[in-house]
Amino acid sequence: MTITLEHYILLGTLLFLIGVAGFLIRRNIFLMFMSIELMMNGVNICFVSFARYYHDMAGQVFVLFVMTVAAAEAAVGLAIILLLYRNRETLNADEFHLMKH
Amino acid sequence: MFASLFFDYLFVMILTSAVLMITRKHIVHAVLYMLLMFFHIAGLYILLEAEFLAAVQLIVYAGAILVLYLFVIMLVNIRKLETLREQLFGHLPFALVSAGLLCAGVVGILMQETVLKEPSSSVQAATQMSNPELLGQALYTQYLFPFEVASLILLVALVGAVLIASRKI
Repeated sequence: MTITLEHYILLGTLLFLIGVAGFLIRRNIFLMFMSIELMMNGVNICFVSFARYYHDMAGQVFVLFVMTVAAAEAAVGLAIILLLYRNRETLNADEFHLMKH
Repeated sequence: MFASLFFDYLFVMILTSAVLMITRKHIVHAVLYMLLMFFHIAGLYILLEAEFLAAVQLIVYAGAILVLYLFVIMLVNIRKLETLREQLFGHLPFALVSAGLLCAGVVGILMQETVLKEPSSSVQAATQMSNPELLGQALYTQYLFPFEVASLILLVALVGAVLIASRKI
């Protein structure tokens, strides 16, 4: 059995879906954040496999940019989480309902 | 044949560690499963002839982002971490087996590529250039402007993170 492009896309898609499931199911704000990283990694796998099978470096260049954005997002997001925790003393996303009332 | 076996192993391990990650009760366990997943994705990049990205995956994701996560988690709930030590050593056999298999797979793939020199129709074989060279050439010519924008994003994120985290509300 040779590995085709579809195998990699299947893997990337499943990883993305697991990330979506984690984001929707879990209420811990850290885990929701980590699920976003999971989704990005699923997309990255697809990009790199496209780069490999269509002989184009653009896919790998884009993965580098996705990683840049992921790093920036993690830094800013974790700072926001830290601020939220300092104010509300909780990590449960359902309890951040300041705008509701 | 070997590549296909290695792919199957990576496929199973990436999805298993992702599912385990989103189902863990303890957040530090989830982070460690994410680390396992990042390592196996780096293995997948080596299989896909993207060696530079495999290294960047390990340095940026496993090295920087994950440590940032752990750091903030320990800053936030330090009280729950005391029970962690005895729980973690139960995972030692699993960790050793997966580390050994991943290592064997990566070494096997790299050996196969350099020793057998299979005439693949990839970009690398066509241009006789290594992966970092090709990536650098694309990044500094065709994609120079996005590259500069990426550096600006990182600068903004750096300043923003410091500003947000240090603010007193």
